[in-house]
Amino acid sequence: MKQRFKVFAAIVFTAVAPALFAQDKMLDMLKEEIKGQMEVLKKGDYPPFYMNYRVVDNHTRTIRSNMGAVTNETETKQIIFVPQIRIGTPEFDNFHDAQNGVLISMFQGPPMVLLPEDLKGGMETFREIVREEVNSRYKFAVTSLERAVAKESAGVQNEKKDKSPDFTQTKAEKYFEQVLTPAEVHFDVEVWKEKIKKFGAIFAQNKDVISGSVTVTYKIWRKYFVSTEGAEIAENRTYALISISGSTMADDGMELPLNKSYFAYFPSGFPSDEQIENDILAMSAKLSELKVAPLVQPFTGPALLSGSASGVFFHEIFGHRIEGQKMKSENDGQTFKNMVGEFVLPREISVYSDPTVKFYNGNNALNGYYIFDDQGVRGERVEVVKEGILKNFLMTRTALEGHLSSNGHARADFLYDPTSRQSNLIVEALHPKTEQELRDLLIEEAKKQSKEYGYYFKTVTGGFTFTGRASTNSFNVTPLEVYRIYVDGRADELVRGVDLIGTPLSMFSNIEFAGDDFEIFTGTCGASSGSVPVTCISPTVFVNKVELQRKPKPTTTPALLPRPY
Amino acid sequence: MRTFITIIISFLFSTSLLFAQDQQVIFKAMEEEMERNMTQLQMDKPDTPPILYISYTLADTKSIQTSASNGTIIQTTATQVERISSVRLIVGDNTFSSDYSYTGNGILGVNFVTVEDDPAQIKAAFWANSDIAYKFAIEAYNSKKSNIKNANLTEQELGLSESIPMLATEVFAPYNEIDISKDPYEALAAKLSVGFVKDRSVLLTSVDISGIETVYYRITSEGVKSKQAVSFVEIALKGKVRLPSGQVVGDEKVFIFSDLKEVSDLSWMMSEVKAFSDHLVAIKKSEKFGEYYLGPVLFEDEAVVKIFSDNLISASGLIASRKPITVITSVARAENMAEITRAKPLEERIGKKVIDSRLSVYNRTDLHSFNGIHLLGSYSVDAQGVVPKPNSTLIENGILKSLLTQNIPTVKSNESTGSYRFGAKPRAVTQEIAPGVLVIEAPKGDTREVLRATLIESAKEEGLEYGYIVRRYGERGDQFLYRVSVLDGSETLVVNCELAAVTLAKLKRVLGVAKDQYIQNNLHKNAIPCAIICPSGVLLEDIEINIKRVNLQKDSELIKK
Repeated sequence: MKQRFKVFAAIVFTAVAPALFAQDKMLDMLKEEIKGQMEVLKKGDYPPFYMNYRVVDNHTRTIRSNMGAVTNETETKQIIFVPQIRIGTPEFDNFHDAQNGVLISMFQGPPMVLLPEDLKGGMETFREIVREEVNSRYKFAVTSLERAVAKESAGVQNEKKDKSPDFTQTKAEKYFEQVLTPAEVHFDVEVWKEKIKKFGAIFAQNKDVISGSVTVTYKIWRKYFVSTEGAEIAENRTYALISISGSTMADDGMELPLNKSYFAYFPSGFPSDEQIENDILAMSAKLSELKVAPLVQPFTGPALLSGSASGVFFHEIFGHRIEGQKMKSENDGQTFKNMVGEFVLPREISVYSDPTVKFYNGNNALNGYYIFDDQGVRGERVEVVKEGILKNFLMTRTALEGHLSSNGHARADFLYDPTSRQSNLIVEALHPKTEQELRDLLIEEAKKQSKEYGYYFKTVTGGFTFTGRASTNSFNVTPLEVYRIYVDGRADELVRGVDLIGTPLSMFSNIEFAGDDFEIFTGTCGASSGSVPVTCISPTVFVNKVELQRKPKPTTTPALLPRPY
Repeated sequence: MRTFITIIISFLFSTSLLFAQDQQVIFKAMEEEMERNMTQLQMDKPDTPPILYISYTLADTKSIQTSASNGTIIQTTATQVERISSVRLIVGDNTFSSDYSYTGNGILGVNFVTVEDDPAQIKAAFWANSDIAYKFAIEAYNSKKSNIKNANLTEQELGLSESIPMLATEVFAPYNEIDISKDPYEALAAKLSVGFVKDRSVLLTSVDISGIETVYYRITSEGVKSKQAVSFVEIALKGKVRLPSGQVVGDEKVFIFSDLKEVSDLSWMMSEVKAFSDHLVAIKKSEKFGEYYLGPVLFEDEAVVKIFSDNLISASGLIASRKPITVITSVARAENMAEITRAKPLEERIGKKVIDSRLSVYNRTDLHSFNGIHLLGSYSVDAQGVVPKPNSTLIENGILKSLLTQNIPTVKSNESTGSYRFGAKPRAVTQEIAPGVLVIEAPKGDTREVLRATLIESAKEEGLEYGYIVRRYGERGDQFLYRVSVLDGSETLVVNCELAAVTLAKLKRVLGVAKDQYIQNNLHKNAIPCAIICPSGVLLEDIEINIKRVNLQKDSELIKK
């Protein structure tokens, strides 16, 4: 298989200026407030041993189109404030049994606390909002701590329980980036409207396509972090994304989508229009093929997972099980907690999580890049698996036995408190195989298992997994483009209608080889601390046994009348 | 309470020349696609019922929300026009059709429709949605056929026709386009938000202003073609108060206007901010509601509006409804009919006393202003193209005379009163039976002073030390009642109380009602502008007030400072 690039990007990113401290009213006010509030709170019954303020100044613009016509245009500007107050001791604090420092509504999530943009005129309002939110969270902290202490004292002593500290020491970072220039912030809405109309119109030319959407989003986040330990951070993050989704419907009513996305740090970093148009043309043609592709039956047997497919696979079934903080909970499945130093993957495979990689293998921009995590800790490359052996976990400042310091993987959506999350998850092979070698291995294995064919999963759209103990520790990855590779040399056959399912440990043991290619899957991962931008990078992977189950039966059937244009 | 000139200036029955060029594109696309579906959409199965009726609706909604505190903008979100489609498709005939809910609602399109007036894309939206609506209608038809036997319908109900045919009509209701540009909203919110009194106990005050406009394009297979708009501006004054005990209580007061430009009398609005702010300061000195109360309660002003709107503008009140039939479908989700199913229709009590005989209720659709206050509820034509009667008597001297209806026949109504109205809500086609201006009169009522004296007397008679006055209550914020001493008539504001629901039965015999009237513009279901003119006070007996238990937690040193 040839090298495939999920994301193409020519990036021009303005160099940041670390340690260049310029005037930033927001940072100054946050520093002043946290200092003053800490002094006051120290006098109370439950003096905090630590506090931090997180602020995200979010400016997001989105334009959506369908079949070449603009449908929707939005612009969001908001400054969100999330303080964290820790009381008790670093060994046992109010977050001992709670991930969040505020009550989370089941339907609405955490409360959104907004700060004024005009800090000069709105200083009084700023202070009032900050004071009231900190007071509210302080009260929640007291309740959380008392509850955790009561639970601890009432609980049956468990010798095996993780006794590592709830909050570890780290360096108080000082880092300042200048505010982005107007040119960097600029997003020409009219130009982009025309572009996405042009892109989407390609779908309209194909009668088999029932929906063809193109969405362009430009997010600018200026993230502030200050803490009572002296951390002072102002970091810019920018995310430009074009998402393309086309769908067709088979005669039995099964809706068949295909997706593609292009990620860059700035809109100027997107690939050329010509390239995007060619990709959409190819997607449109593939949709026509998919519409008449045969429906397949449940199957077990060998498979090849393309780079993007295996990237999602690794993210779901492996990545979520190396997130350290949640393993501290007795409710977590703790799949790998006690397996450090043991083989968890074939010797061929190494996995690392590295938020410091801004571009991969040239100019491929990575969505999971950041300098500091949401606890103000510098993101580090973490060797998770070295040649099959489990080495480390993705850690926050909440320790786990044997992992007593953060490696900068505490992440959260705007409103949540952070927990361990993935960044750029990168899978690499020790002795990579060529495309032909992997194909030969697949055919050989299929023959060995007396199968007429093996499967090749070319694209997937995402997936999900359960990691708790209360439910089956399983995963589901949703393929979009799947081929049968026949052992008798017949041409590969595009098929439809299956999901890739399984349980993690059994699946890992079935991975045998990986290719010399790679693909980048740009995604947004949703979990207990909300949605965070992530990347999965992986080569094609050969698995000697996968399990496929049928997709749910469609509830619709194709339209009775032909499309009206 | 101020409000403004109604948006519908006139309506006309005329030719398609009424519709401007851009609208012609929209209507032409809708008509061509409807024609294609009416004539060609057919399932290749024997005994498939024919299409009886289709209506297509396009809804263009734009909106803005801004929030300011102490003169500073906290957030503004402006949403440019978003267009959604809805298809109502009925199969069968007028003796038995797929209509199971009798609400008049259709199926919303899954995706936004282009805002570019692109005929191909508009057609495509209705094509996809008609297909789903058709398959859904066939499922609903078959399911209804088997479920109707268990629906406990009377012979009379079973004999009703499915709908009242509408006359072919073209309606163009001119409207003033609402401005959703940020500057005027932010400027007004900022200005008003500085009007709160500076008091350390009063916190997190804000002025939230939102504006919304939905323009509806609708055609039906019966030949109704209309373009109408619904818009309004809502100003909400909000604030919290920290009581000496540390408890934080919040309150909110809402004003509805037709357009931001109509809030030109800034001094009047500033005085409302001042009054609300004074109210917050007064809460500081409030007392805790101490013990369970069952006795006379005097409702005044906004509280009276709430009682009448809750009880009269509902399917258990003056809104006619037909009993829905439960259906099981898979193509799309059947409508949630819990509210109608739970309702106890008043229809069977026509000719009988339903409220106090001193009270009469009228629905006015032609009343643009009253006592110098502009009313939002007046309109010229409803969402089904029916011209409403300017003045309908609904209740006369307590006796129920008629209900508000749409084009669905019920046991006692075979005529639409033109009360099926559009509302404005983001990403929705809102349409419900609603009044225009609901006028509740008690010409033989008493003065407010008499009502107050009666409250005290009634409380005394029951051996109570206090009576209570409620001036405003609702779902938003905490409840604040006024405790009135029977000894000296003094008033004390109390908190931590919960008023039990005031049902229609409580209105059947009231201890007293005011003859002077209170006027308020309202939003039925938070979307349909209407107005209520009602007695400024009503004294009810045996009203229950419970203690609201509050889990009070100690504040941090930041607050004690």
